[in-house]
Order: sequence, then structure tokens, then C-alpha cells
Amino acid sequence: MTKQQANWSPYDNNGGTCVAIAGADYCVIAADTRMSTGYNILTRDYSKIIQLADKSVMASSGFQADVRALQKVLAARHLIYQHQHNKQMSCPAMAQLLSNTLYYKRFFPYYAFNVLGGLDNEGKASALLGWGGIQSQGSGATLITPFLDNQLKSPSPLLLPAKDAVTPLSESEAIDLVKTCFASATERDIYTGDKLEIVILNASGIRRELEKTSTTISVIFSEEMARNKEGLVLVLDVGPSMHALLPEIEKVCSMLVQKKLIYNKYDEVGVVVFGTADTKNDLTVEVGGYENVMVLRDVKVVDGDLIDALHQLPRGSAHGDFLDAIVVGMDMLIKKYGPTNKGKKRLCLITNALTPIKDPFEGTKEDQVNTVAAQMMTHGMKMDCIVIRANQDLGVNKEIVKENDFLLSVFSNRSSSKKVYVETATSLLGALRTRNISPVTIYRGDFELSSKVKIKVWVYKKTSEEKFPSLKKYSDKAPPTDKFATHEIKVDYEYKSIEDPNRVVPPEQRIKGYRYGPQVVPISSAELEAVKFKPEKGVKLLGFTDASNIMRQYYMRDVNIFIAEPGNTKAILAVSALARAMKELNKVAIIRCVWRQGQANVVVGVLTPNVSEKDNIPDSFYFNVLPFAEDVREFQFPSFSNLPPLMQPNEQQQQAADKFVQMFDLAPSGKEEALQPNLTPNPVLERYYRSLELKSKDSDAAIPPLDETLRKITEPDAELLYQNRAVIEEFHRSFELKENPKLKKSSRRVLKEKPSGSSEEGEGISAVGQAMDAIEYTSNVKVEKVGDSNPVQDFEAMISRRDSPQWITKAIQSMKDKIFDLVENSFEGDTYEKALECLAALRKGCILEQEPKQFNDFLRHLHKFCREKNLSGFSEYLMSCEMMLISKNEAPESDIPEHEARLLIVKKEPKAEQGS
Amino acid sequence: MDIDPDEVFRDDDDPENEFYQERDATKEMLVYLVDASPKMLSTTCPSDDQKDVSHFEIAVCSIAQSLKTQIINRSYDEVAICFFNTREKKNLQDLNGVYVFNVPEREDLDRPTARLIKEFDRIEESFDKQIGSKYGILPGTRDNSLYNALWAAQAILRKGSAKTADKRILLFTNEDDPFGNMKGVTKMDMMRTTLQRAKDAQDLGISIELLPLSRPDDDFNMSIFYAELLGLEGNDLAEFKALVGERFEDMKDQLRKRIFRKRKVRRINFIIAGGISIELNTYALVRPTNPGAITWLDSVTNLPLKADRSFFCSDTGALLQEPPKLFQTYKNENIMFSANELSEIKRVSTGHLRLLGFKPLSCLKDYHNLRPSTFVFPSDEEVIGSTCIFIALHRSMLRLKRFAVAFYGSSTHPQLVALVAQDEIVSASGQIEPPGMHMIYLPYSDDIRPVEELHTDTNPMAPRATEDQIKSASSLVKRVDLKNFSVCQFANPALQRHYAVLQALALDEDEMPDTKDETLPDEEGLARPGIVKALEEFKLSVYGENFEQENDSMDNEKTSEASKKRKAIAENATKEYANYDWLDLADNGKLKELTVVELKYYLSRHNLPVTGKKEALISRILTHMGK
Repeated sequence: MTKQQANWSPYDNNGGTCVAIAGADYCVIAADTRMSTGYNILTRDYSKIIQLADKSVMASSGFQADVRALQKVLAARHLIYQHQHNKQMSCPAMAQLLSNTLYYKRFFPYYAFNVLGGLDNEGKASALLGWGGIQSQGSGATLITPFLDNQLKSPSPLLLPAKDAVTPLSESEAIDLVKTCFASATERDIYTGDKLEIVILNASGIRRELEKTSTTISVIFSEEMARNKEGLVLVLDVGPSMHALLPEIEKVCSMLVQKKLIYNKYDEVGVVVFGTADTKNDLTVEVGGYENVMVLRDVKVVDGDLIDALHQLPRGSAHGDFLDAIVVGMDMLIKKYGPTNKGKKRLCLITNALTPIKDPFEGTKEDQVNTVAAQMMTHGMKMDCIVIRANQDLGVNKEIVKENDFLLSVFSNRSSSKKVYVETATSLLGALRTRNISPVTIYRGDFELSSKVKIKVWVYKKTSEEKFPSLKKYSDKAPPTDKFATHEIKVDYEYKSIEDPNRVVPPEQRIKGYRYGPQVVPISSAELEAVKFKPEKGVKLLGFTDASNIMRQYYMRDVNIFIAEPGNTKAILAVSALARAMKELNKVAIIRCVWRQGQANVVVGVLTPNVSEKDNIPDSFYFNVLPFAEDVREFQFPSFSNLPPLMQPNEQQQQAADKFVQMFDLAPSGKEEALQPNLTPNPVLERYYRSLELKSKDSDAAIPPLDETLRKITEPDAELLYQNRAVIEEFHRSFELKENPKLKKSSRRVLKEKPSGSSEEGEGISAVGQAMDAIEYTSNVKVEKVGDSNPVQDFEAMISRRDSPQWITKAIQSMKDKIFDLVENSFEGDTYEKALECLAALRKGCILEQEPKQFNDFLRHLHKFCREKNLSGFSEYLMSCEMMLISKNEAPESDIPEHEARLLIVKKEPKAEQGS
Repeated sequence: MDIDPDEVFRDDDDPENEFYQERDATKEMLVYLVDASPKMLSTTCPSDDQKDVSHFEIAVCSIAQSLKTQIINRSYDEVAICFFNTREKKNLQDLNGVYVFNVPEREDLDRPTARLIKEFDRIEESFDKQIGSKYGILPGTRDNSLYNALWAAQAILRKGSAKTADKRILLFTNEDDPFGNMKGVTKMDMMRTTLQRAKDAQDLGISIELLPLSRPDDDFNMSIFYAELLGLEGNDLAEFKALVGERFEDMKDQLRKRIFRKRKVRRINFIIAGGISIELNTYALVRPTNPGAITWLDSVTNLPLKADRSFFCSDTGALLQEPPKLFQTYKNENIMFSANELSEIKRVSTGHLRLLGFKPLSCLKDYHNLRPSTFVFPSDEEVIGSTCIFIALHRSMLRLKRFAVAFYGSSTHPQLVALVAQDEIVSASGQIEPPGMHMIYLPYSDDIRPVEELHTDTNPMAPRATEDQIKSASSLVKRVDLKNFSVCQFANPALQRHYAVLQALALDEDEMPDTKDETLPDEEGLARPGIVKALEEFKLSVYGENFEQENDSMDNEKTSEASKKRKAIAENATKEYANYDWLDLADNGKLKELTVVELKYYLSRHNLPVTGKKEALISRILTHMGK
């Protein structure tokens, strides 16, 4: 028998951190309020600070029982002192007492770590039991002491001659410093946290502050969050040419921040705008230059204020240099994170790149961009550039655009940045990725061409639906006084036997059953496990087949992407060779996949080659799941050619349809393809987040209508309809639709089945006969005035409203006002081009609506107005663009013959005089 | 048994479920009415394996197959199988020449059971003995077996109301003139009563469908009798095509496709610019099939359990009714939404399908996919002229190689869709692809992930295959070619296994069936010298010569070390194993006196697992000895 030793351990460590800082005429003593033992928190609200005398305060961490005993001993000795000397003990005396008391117990010590602070009789502060006017004790002391030493540069007490121990900080600076050091200590030390109690002693007395530290729940949790946080700087062009699009930019940026607030609330976002008249950034102070770039907000954790700020972006009046702005953004990120946070630093540039960047002091612009791109790479930053290319035909210097395009493409070739061109407001809303998801592989391993030949691949999800957020159910049962109520609802399932509804069957008595016809076959989990299908993990090639064999409709699910193992050159080459060969031969590969070991089913799918267009991106494959035999229902449908002749289109009808399909084109050559999935935002989610923001300000706010810009996704584009109205009308004329007279009864049934409210929108069967007009419907929606963002479209929508004749007058009037606004408020002609567009639209509209006089009068008036206001630049601009009066040839009601229409342009003055 | 597992486990606000669930929820009651006359048995057509198969066998075979499919897909439907022109009779009305096939513990019209499927699979062996065949309508008798069969079928279908169930009679026959042997008044009379019987059935909401079988040289003439029975006129009649197949397989395919009723998911309006709105029906032609939901049973009684859901307030523990409000935490506040507000948010467009424009097919990328597609087919039921417009657009889109982009404003899941026109594809075995358009659900920008850019190469140039490498890959691609690949040629091995196990359990069979995994690669084919050579060349050109050796040497080292160790243990175990008299030890209960190391000798010698505590090891040894 070995001898068992008595094991007596009377100590515990209840953790906690204390800090004291002594200044010239003040003393700050601080401690957290957490009391813990091991991994348990005993209380979150325990004060470690005690006032021993008038001018001395002690904070102690360690073993709470010993601390308490020590405090009692000191208090008793202080009481005796008061009786004997009839005065309060001074701070140095108290320090001496503390020292003696602790030393006296050195063989069975008080397990307490104390800092004593106070003011001496001259009002000079001392933080005792330490050096240099600062002292920290307790579990977080090892973290705080070096930090404070570094910050305060306090001299060593060993120095000769002795230096003054007190810190040079002011009182408020000292308090801030204490808060900062506790904020970091709580992140790292699990024994420190909850609240921070600060006691400040100065000439005017004693004051106590209580502050919540960031880690109220769990230190580990917040560390986890912080590791994944993204640092983002939005670099936004707010120069004059961007004004029209700023409302959209405001929308998309605040949507991005909103999503971050919900899903990534530790992410940090900064905002830089350029093209402003003012300049405000660090670099301009430090090195000069960088004008017209303004830091709207430093890189900080996202909050509601940021959304408000993004809702009101300033309208700049200068021409900004996007490269300057990028450098400012990079500087902010570097200063904030240094070399940390690699791969999680992102810049997002939104500009139309119409203004040239400044010439550098040395080298070419390209060299400069190269340097910046290289810096971006070394700091692990990414950049998304969204370049707006709207209305580029008017008054734009093609040279500059070309140069900027080139410079931006250098960025995307030299660094991990991406460039997207957008032409419409709708695609601008979709171009900025508002969801931030770190991708996870679903498979890493071999792609087996045969048992001998394998390629190492990684598989990711390429598409994955962003779901409508799942809201929690709200419980109103919690009393209103309970501030920590979660208001959540738990759902509980109980299984009851059918014979006796009151008897609850416990989980261990339950067994799974599967339906087989009318029978339910019971099968235990163990049995099921033993007999179920267990394929081996792996991706195997079954063979290649012609691409035409796999029809598009058989793609079953969201899409995966196969990329070669990063860094494995051989694998990249193998994938590249296969992809290119398949593309050349127009073949696809059929493969069988089991992503994980233990997966209970196999997936058969098709690999299609994705030959990369960008040089620095390797080739890859897209993978789509194909159905199994059980998943396909082979219904028979009549052949179209077997249908009765009445149901088949005749030659003329077919031609009308051909023309319609040809002309009603979303992807005309030379223009951006409309409604590209990559650039189309989700209108439902956009609406949800917008109403969330509204409701956060006012809980009764109504659901806002769908954004005008997003209507282009749910309804046909009014402009496109207008351009093709002839084709559409012909198509409409060619076909006849009528309600089936035999089916009165069933159509009534269908109408009844419709959800209430849909009938008023003029759909359903009854509408067919009345030739319900989709154009009318769209314009009916909300266009009641000519707005800022899309005046031309608004005007067209308004003027084509047919529900009341006065809309035409109204439309023309508000368009006129708009044009005046634009001309009057222009700054060095920056809005002229827009005004011209509006004028052209107005002219077109007036011809169409037989209102030539309205336009002619207005044009004359405008010329006069320009002359009066010294805005002759606009008149000249109009002339150069050959904007003329509406002549008789164009509209019979006009009283101006063809040759006179031009006269206004040639000799504007006399003609304009006469007219007005 | 009114417990619906779907409902119990359904997450109330998961729109996904709604999508996969078919709207047409009525169940189907189906009577297979099979002509068993000698003509059915004697008419044959050749099959792939050189054996002639009779029309009767074709019919029986396809019914058996559809029963199995039904178990997997729509096990709620009820079926009855009924032969007519039989020697024996078995039916409630005791009518001559009608035999209702059934198995014990099952009503005549009921859901298919494992036993029914099993017995029906073997019907051909027992048919002659049990049921027999003879001509039903012969001169000189007043027996009218067709009339009797319709009557019996109608009586079977009396169960259940026509509102909640689709009632159908599927008639398999190759006799286009059932009353051909009759003459004069008797014939007129018989025809009249039979037609009346059919009409009565149709008035009761039972639809009668005919699957006429015929040989290529001997067409089934509808107009002699059956057109009138089915009430077909003019156009419908022309549309009706008899099943003609040179081969048994073709005929079986055609039959299989016709047995299932088309179920439309819903009717929608397609709004084309310019105020045209046409009527479309949508069909779910491709949907993943799952092994059915779990029903919880009481393990003592094997009776199903009823699940009760209750809501608790997590703060107070109070029991709640269905909660009226939902909330999202945002900016440290709880923002409330009512269900109405949420559905208002989702209603960004008025129902239906709205055309936005057309794009060339090249704009539809391979990654533009989220869910299985939906098939749309025009209907003139309520709006006459819909089909005409649809066909015109369909043809133009095919001709111009364009697809339509439309917004589908369903109330739960409004989405942008692509409408891709599909031309009809017909082969000897019937329609392969029906004509119409497929609605493909398009992702939004935030649904697409920029994965390619994730591992952007630090070099400005990513490695690219050289011409030679592409060439060797090309020859590989050409070699390993799947001829005649059809998208749905594989059965889902997991599902097949699951149902095979269930069937075995339902029938109390001891042996678990073996199912074949058709999805495994064809090792034999890949081992053909041509392919092996192509693979080798590809490997050589991409990986170079030394690659394999590098890899192998690494592998070898690893495996050799592990295997050496394993081998040594096994050898030692065998050696030590002989030193003990295991049986004796086990009999005297002395196993527990041995050490774990010693016990493991036995286990490793017999290739049993060596993990677990001592007790587990001992019990494993005893089980292995059979004690």
C-alpha cells in the first residue's frame, strides 16, 4: 500500500483584473466585476474595489474569501487608528499597513492581489505596490502591464536619478486608456469581463463609473466572431456626373450594411467619397495631395448611423481621381489592420470612370497603377470595381474612358480584383455583392477518370439560393419589465398513441416506420443502418457524351463547380486539358459522386467545361445533378403538328411571332444584356430589408412599394415596349383570343379560387377579352411626377398613361420644370447632357401626342431664359446637337415650316424674340 | 391511419416544401380492365431476347411495373385489377366472364400492397389454372362480357366520392370489334346496352380510357365500336393513336407512359406584352423522389403515433397558441412582422407569368439553375387561341435559337425564369420529349458565388493546357464515349435498396434482397485496351513520367509500414492462439481471468473487431463460439 498524502488545498482563484493609474492630481482605480472559478462564472456583478479611507481605495483580485478577510482586518486596524489618532489614515500609511499585514501572514498568505491608490496629504496621487505610477494585478495583469508600459512609457524605478513616477496623461485620457486596456483584456482573458468599475479620486472627491465591457456572454464566442470579420472600405464616386445614380448607390450600399448588421455584425466598414469639393483624409495631411477625397467614415464596426450616413451621400461638385481614392481607402485598411486580417480586407469602388486620373510625378499612369496593385496584393486586399457605363454616347471623352478602362483592367489582371460594367440602374443594384459568405468545399479529393488516372479537385457550390430570412416566432408573454427577455418561442413535439390520446410515448419506445402502400413497415435505426445503401466516397467518371444529349431542363438542383486543387499545377493542367477538349468536341462528362463518407445516396450528374476568360483564373467545370429514372414522369403530350389546324398559327401569324421574338430583345448587340442573372438583384429581399429599416425607425411603418428600379425585373421594360410598339401591335392584331363560351361555369370557379385582391389588378379571364394592356399597367403604378434618377423614363411612362387625358399636359409640364432645373443648377455644364436627353424625350413625346406648340414655345422660352441668365453655353450646346423646333412635316399641327425650324439654331436671336 | 407525416414535420414557412408538393392532391382510383380473350394471348410480337411475347403479357407486365412505380411515387392511389373474357368468374355481382384479381387482407379497390405486387408478378404461371381464358361474346349466348366488365369495374369504383378522387378505368384490349361475331338485333341490343353502361359510368364521374394494342399490319380500328364508347369525335379521334410496336420493349414503353395520368400542377396566365394573356398549364415532369416521410410507431404495438405540437414561451414557459407575429432582431431591437405583411413583401408582382423579353440561348449559362424545371403546355380550355399563340412563339424561339425571360410571380416564391422551347422528339418507342417550354428558375446576383476568383493565381497567367495535352484529352474524350446515353437511364440505387428492403420486411422475408447499383462505372469497358491506352497517354502528357513513381513511393512507404505492423500482430496472434484451449475456458467461465491482450489473440485470429472493454470482448468471443 502506498501512503496517501493528505491533500488540503484551502485556496481558490476567483480571477479578475485590477488596474490603477496615478496622475499628477488624480488617481484612477479600475477593476472588472466578474467573479469566476475554473470555467464557471459565479457572478457578473461583484465589486472588487473598496474604499479604505477618505483618500485611499483598494482593488483586489484573487481568492475572494481572503480578499474579504484582508479587507476586514484593514478596516478594523483603520478603526483602531482613528480612535487612537482622531484622524483618517493617510494613503502612504495605509500602504505601509497593507504591506505589514501581508508580510505578517507570509507563511499562510492572503491569496489576494491588491492595488492601492489614493492621494497623499498634498493632494499628490500615488498608485502603490507598483512602479511608474501604474500598476495592474490579477488574471489579466500580464496582458495589461506591457500595454500600459508601452503606452505610458513610464520610466523604470531603477533609473538614476529617479524620474517622476506619475504619468503625464490627463484624467480623461487616463480613463480612456483604462477602458481600452480592459477592452482588450476581456477579449483574451476569460476571467476578466462583464462590467468595468472605475473609481476616480481627485481634489474634488471620489467618483465611480460603471461601464459594460464587450464580453458579457462569452469570450470564446466573440473571438470566433472577430476572426471572421471582414474589413471593407466603400470607395464611392460622388462627382457631378454621378449624381443621377447616387440614389441607387445609396440603396445598394445601405442594403449591404443592413445585411452585415444582421449576419456579420462584427464586420467593419469605412466609407470614402471622392469628387467632393472638400478634402478630408489622413494622406492629404501627411503627404499632401489627394484632393477632393473625403473620408466619410473611418473603418468601424457596422451600426445604424452608417446606414443613415449612406442614405445621404454628399453630392460632390469636383472631379475626383479614383486612384487617389483607392489609395486613401488602402491607407485606411492598412492603418486599421496592419498585416492582420489577410484575405478579409476589401475595397469596393463604384465610379463611372469618366474623369482622368492625375499624371504622376514620375513614370506613367500604368506604372503607378501597377505599384498600387502590387501593394494591394502584398497586403492581401481584394477590390471590386463597379464601372457605370450609362449614356456614354453623349459628350464623353472617349480617350479618357479608354484610358481608365485600361488602367482598371490592369488592376484586375495584377491583383485579386474584379471589374464589372453596368449600364442600367437595375444592374447597378445587382452588381454589388451584398451577401458575404465564406465558401466551403463540399468535396476535396480525387476525380477518378479510371482507377489509375486521377485528378485532385475541390468542389464548391456555384449557386445557392439566398433564402428569405426565417423569422422567429414572437412571444408576448414575458413581462415588459424583463429587459433580457428573448421573446422567443420553443416548439415541442409529443407523440401520443392513437388508442389513448393521453398517453405520451417516450422517445425510446418509438420506432421509425416507412410507408409501403397501405402498410407502415417498422424498422429500427440499427436495422436500417445495417441494410441501407452505403456507397464509397469518391467522384468517378462514367463516360463522355454529346452535349446535345443532356437537355437543359434536366438540371435538377443548384450548381456546383469543380476546380483543380489550388496550387497543384499538374491538376490544373489536367482539368484545363479536359475542359478545353470537351469544349472543342462539344462533349460533356457524366460522373457519379459521393461527396462524403457515410452519405446514403449517390448523385449522378453532368460536368460541363468552363473555359476561363481571364488569364489568372484556371479552367474549371460546372456540375449539375441529373435525375434518376424514378424522378422523371413521362407524360404524353399531343404533338403540335397533330393539333387541329385552328390551333396552329398560319404563315402570317408565324411571321408576326418571328418578328416579335426577334425584336423584343433583351440582349441587343452593342448594349448590355438586360436582366443578366449575375447583375439582377432579388426584388423580394430588397423590399424586405428596406421595410426592416423603415420598421426599425417606426414600428408601424407600412410595407413600402416595390422600388421603381426593381420593377424592371418584375415587369417588361417600358422603354423596350415603347420601342417595339409597332411589332407588338402587329403581333396583337395577328392573333385572336376569346373566352371559351362553353366553360362559363369553370371560369367562374377559377375566378373564385384566386386570392382576394388579384382580381382588381385586371388579370384573370375577364381581362383577356378587354385586351388588358400591360403597358398601362406598368405606367399606372406610381409614375406621377418626373423624378431625379430617370426623368426620361418617368416622362415616357407618364405620357403614355391612358387613364386620364390630363396626364399628357401634366407630364409635359413637369418635364419642362425638370429641364429648367437641370439647366439652372448645372455646374460648368455638367447636367447639360442630361437636360438634352430630357429635351429630346420631350420633343419625341410632343410629336407623338400632337402637341408641337407646347414644345416649340418651350424651346424658345428656354433660349431666352439662357440668354437672360448668362447660360448661353447651353444654347450653344443645343445647337451643336441640332436640337430644333418641331416642323410641320413632323407634326401637322405645328405652324412652323421645315426651313424655319432650323432657323432657331442658325440665328437664334431674332427667331426666339419673335416666338416669345 | 389519418396521420400525414408530411404535415407533422413540415416547417410552416418553408416555401420549398410547397414547391415540391403537388397541388393536385386528389387521389386516384384506377381499375385495370384487361382483356384475357384468346386473341390477346395468341397475338404476339417479338422481343429483344428472341422470344415472342403476347399482348396479354405486355399488358400484365406494364401493370406490374406501374404498380411498383406507384408504391414509390404515389402510394395513396387505389387500384383494382380485373380481367374479362375469363373462364372463371370472381366478382361481387357474380357476373360471367369477369375475374377480379386480389390477394388476402386487401379490398378489391385498395392501395397496392407488397403481397399484391408479388402475386401479380407471378400471375402468368397461375393464370391458366386459376382464371383461364375464353371468348366472352359468342353467337348464341346472351353473355356480354364487356358489359359485365364495365359493370363490375363501375361497382368497384363506387367507393369514395367523385369530388375527392379521380376515377378511371383503363381498358387493355386488342379486339377492335367485340361484337363482330354477333348479328342482327342481338348485336344492336348488346351494343346499345354496353354503350349505355359506359355512358352511365361516365356520368358518375368515371373516365374510361382505352389502351388499344395492335400489330403494325393489323390496325386497331377505333371507329368500329370504341370511338362511340369513349365518346370521341372528329379531332379527338384523329389524335388517338393505337399502340403499335414492332417490338415488345417499344410497346411496353408506350404503355407505361400512357398508364400514368398527366397531373397538372396549376394553371397560370402568361402575359405577353401588348395586352395578350394566354392560358398555360404547368406540369412537374422532373422532381426528386425521396424515400417517403417517416411515420413514428409505438415499438410495442407497432401502431402509428400522433404527433402533437405545442408552443412555449421560452422566457416564461407559458403555453401558447399559434403565435401571430414573427420577428427579426435588427440593431438590437426586435422588429415585428405579421404574416400578412410578409406575404405583402413577397407579392412584388401580380401572380402569373409575365414576359420580359427574349435572349439568345447562349445567354443561358450552365450555372443558371436552382431547382428542377417546370414544364408548360398551352391550354385552350378557357381562353381559345392560347395554343395558337404558344405554338407560334414556340416555333419562332426554336428557329431563332432564343429563350424567353419572364417573371413568375407566385405568392410564395416569386422568381425570374427562363422559358426554353423544346421541340418534340419521337422515336420508335413513342414520344421521348414532349413539345412545349421548360421553365428554368434563374438565380439572382446574390445567389451566384464567385468561386472561380477565390483561388486567383498570384501569377498573372494561370497554367493552361498545351495543344498536345488538349489533343491527348480529346482522344480520351472520344474513346470513353457513352453511346445512346439517356438522362434518366439510372435507377436511384439508394431508393431501390430502400424499397426492396421495405418490401422484404413487409412480406416477412428473411433474406434481404440484393439491388444492383447501376451508377458504378463500367470497369470492364474502361479496361478495354483502347481506353487504357488513351488514359495512359493523357496521364503521360499531363503528369509527365515521374509523377506516378513519386506518388507510388510515398504511398508505398505509408502502406508498407502500417501493413508490416498489422502483419506482425496477426502472426503473433496466430502463434499465441494455439496456446489456449478456448472452448474449455469458455465453458468453465474462465475467459474473464484472461487479460485483454490474451483475449485479443482469439479475436484477431478470427478477424473480429478488437475494440471495446473486456466484457465486450468476452461476449464477442462467446457469440462467435455460438454460446
